[in-house]
Amino acid sequence: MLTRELAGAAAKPLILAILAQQENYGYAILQRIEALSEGALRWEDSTLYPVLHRLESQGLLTATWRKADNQRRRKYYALTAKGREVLAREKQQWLRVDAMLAQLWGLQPRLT
Amino acid sequence: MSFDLEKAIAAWRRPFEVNPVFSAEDIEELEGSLRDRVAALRDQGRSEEDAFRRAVKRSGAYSGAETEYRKVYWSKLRKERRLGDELLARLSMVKNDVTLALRMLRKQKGYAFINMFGLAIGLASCLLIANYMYHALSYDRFHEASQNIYRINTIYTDNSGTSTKMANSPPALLPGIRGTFPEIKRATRLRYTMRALLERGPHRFYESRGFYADSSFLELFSFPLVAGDRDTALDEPNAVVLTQETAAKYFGQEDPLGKVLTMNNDLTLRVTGVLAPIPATSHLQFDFLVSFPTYEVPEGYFSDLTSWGWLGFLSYVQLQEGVAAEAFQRKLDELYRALSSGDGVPYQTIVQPLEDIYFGSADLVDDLASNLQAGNRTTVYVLGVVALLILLIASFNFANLAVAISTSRSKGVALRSILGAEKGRLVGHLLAEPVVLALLSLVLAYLLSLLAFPYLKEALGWNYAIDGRLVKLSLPFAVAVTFVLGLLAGLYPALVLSGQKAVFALKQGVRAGSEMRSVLIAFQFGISIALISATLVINKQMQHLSDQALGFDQEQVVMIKLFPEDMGSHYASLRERLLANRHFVSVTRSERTMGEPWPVNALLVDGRDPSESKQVRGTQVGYDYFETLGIDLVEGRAFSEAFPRDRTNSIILSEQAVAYLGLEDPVGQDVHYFSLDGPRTIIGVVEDINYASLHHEIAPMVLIMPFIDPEYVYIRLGPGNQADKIAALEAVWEATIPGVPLDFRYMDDHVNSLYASEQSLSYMIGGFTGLALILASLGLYGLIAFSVNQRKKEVGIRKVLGASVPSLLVLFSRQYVVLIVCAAVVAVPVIQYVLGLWLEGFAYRVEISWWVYALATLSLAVIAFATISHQAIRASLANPVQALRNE
Repeated sequence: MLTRELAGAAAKPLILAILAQQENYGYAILQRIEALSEGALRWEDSTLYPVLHRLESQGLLTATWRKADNQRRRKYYALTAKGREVLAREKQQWLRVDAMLAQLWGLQPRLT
Repeated sequence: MSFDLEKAIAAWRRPFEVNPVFSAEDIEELEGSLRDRVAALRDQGRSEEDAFRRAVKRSGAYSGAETEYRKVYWSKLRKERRLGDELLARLSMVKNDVTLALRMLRKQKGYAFINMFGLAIGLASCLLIANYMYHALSYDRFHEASQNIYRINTIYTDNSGTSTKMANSPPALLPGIRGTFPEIKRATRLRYTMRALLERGPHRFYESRGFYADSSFLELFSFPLVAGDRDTALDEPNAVVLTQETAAKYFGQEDPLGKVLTMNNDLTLRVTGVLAPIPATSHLQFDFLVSFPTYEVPEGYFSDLTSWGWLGFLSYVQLQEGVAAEAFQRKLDELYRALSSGDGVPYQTIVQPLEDIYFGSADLVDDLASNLQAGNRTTVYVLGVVALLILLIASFNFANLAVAISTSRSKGVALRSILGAEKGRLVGHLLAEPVVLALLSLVLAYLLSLLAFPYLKEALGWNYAIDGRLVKLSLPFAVAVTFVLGLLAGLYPALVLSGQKAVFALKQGVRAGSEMRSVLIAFQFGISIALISATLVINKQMQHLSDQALGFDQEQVVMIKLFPEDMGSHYASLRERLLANRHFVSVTRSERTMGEPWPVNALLVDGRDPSESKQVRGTQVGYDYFETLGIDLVEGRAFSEAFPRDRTNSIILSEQAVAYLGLEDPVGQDVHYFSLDGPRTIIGVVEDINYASLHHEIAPMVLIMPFIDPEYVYIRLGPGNQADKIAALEAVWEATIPGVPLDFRYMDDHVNSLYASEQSLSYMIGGFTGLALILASLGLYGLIAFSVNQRKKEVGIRKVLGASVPSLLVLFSRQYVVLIVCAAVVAVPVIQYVLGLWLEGFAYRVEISWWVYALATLSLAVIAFATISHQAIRASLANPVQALRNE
């Protein structure tokens, strides 16, 4: 399990990265994160949605309601241009942290 | 019972729905998520119920969601520009609270009524008093230049070093300084006309409220003119400006402009202007103005218009913008020093701001003579304090009852809190009720004060209307005060109740606020004791004053006013016939009556230097004057028909006049009074009487026999039936002076009319104190009714266990006795100190003895006990079974 702080800090890049692949709705994002972390990161709905809303109000995401196959509406979130820029910056930062830790711990740098 | 997913989801939604932080979309999104999760869990083969439980658990607790969502709430609002909508939504919540509050009030009509009505009466009293104060404090402020207008008063110091302050100044002053004082913008002199006989055809009346006025009078002052030219109306000789009322007396519906009136039989006056009614807030009150050039100093008078020593005029100046009164005063002082140039002119001037005249003239002697009004600042402040106390009592009542009522709501509040209402909403809900009630009271208060005003005006002799400007000014203030009062009254229970543990409240109910209530009640008791003692002392002081100083006996005396020519031809026979009738004890006459301006003349002991003459007021009186008016002779004798010389060569002095002249053995000495006559011999000395009124200190007085025909006849009535006496008077009158209507007035009524404003103060304070007491007992009544109601069960059990009615009475009243004692201990020293300060302002004052406070405390205890026992007896007489079976 990830600590609360790390989970919180990782929320923004994770969400942006997932949405960079394709637009998606909240529950699917949660499923995706759970799957990627192999169960180590489990957010509650009430944690995810406010973050999505905040990112939306910061102009990083747009949201659209779409009809789903079960006749219910789903709110799909997609990355904006600004969102992509922020994601790029996040990526650099996280890679730098990753590289620093790898050096310190003597790990082989990987080419990603 | 089978599990219903839809119902379960609906229940899950509810807390989100009532919370404004969650928008409909948020909830839809969360619900979608929940449903997806349920579907996934169902796919794993779980039952619907199990899947729902797990899904809800995974979705996260409501409270966590609330916190997270709230964090982004406001930024979201801004983003979506929904702020306006949000405020509207909040407003609709307030509306909701108000509706609920009204519903609650309807449910508890009795308490709501007591509470609302009590506060409304308190607020209405305050509004009425505020109106009175506003009126009193706005004297003379209607003049455009009021800030720059001053009256030049005089201090006269006689040889003995005694100083007298007068509103008057000499006639040469303004003409003398107008050219040389550039700081003067305008200046005007006034000379009172004394009593003038105005006449036009059959319309002839004595007018005593008139002035000769310099032409700039209407420019300096802003008395509104309805006809004529402000700049020129008083320029020419023989011009007169009338008030509308006076004009109507002589000209009826006709246009008076340019028409002619006769004054004092020989002077022809042309009407050059008509004034709107003089505002009640003017210290100058008059019915007509005659242009100053018309004024002629009477032939042979001791002085003329170039005099710097004749203090028979009023001088007003309007200074240029920005000129300080102190600088002007210094220049005047220099001028007077130069004038006196060593030969000891005993005058000094004081510049008095126009706006201070109404309140600051009580110590000026000549005010009365010039038809001036003098107010009493203490009166106004005393009333202000009374208003504040009433407001306090009413507010405490209101808060007490509101707290008591809200406390009974604790169960409902607990239930709402369990159902998920947030604290803020609960507080809002609990606040709404007292705020709505308070605002309703305010509406009622305005209505009450409008309804009561005409009656009070009649009863108290108020000479003004409700001031529209004040209503406009006071409204926001009153609304704010009332709103805050409602908030405060609601705040305490709201915070206590919404913060309590819900389960606890549901189990046993809450008794919040009982300590605070005790404190407020004790406060009220204290205020009540203070008010009762103050009323007692003020009434005693007023009584004391009116007993004090008059020096004559106005009871059973009838006063008749006659035209001098009627007096000349009929007085002798009227007197003869009256004295022949057993109903009448004695008859006399005089030139001036009490409370009227008496003429002032120089009085000089024969043989002394003219510089030692004193200005003394006097009047002309007939035989039996002292007997008829009950004035005591100290020395010598009264005027008598046995001494024909009395008619022209005798004079009677008051004790003060004797002291004023510094005479050792007055009777038999000669004095000069009027520069016309030869010396008069002092034949008697009488006790001082207050011939002006108690507003003024007793002044020296001289009396001589009539050399012109006086106007007042006084008749002392004998014992017996009042109606018989008046019938007899009418019969004699009709037989003696047929065709002239009998215009009589009781002397005591006349004297009382001089003290109308003191009377009215005394009534007002008494009345409002009574009201405050009624309010306090009303509040006590409501509160006790409430607490008795809450303790119904306890009373029932006590009765079943054998408690007697008196013991129950003791149970309920015990705590109030303690409160009254505490209140008295605190209030008595405070009020004793305050009343002491107030009484210091009087020359003659009553002693306050301890029984005043004892009486006040006791009467409060009686009122409280009566209130308590009514409720308590009712409760203890009720059938206990009923109380116990309830619930």
